[in-house]
Amino acid sequence: MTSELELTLANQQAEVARLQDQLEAFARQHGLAESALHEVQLALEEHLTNILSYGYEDQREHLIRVRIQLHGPELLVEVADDGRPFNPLETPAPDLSKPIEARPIGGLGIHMIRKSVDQLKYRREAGRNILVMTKRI
Amino acid sequence: MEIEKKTSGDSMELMVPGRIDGAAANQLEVEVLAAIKQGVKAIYVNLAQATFLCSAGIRVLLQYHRQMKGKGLKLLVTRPSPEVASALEMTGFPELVEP
Repeated sequence: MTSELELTLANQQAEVARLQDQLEAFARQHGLAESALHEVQLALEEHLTNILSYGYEDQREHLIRVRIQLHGPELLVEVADDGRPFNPLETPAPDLSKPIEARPIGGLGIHMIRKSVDQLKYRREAGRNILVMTKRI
Repeated sequence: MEIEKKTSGDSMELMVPGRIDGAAANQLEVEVLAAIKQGVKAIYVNLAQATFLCSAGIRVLLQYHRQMKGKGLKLLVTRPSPEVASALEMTGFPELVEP
């Protein structure tokens, strides 16, 4: 059985909250475990924040398409944006071994995405970044 | 999202429920700055009801944890929900949690 939630967001922070509300409703409707839902929400929050903060070189409105599909035991989350080409999989992992005072504050978001989902796939297609996150539920 | 505040003596507890996203992280920063201005010696951020903690939230906690520590004061996370504990663990900041 496949169920789907598809949303088109404008590049504004409030739109991320709208997506999170709808994802919570979708999860409730399909009886998804809270812990899996919250991990997916965290990954989406981090990815969308990166797109909003660093993705665009102009001040125009951009649309971000988010498609969430439930495929048996997996939740697939696809985010497509028309921002500058950026493959988050190429970002090096942060050095977590340094003492807390010596560590840079930035650069944690992508690491948190990696840790929160089971699989990440990136492709650049027709001027868009497409990131597919898979979460076993 | 409502941040509930409780003051007792020289310390303040901030209870932050729900999603700690970018907007909530900004709100938390405003409350932490207000508490610092009031001159509290310790700030406890109670995250028992938080459903997730994003990197912007970690950044606020870390920045003021360092700042307070530098002045001999304290800012610590108390009663982290499993999701918050996991976020702090995966980023290597379990020290932010009150032992």
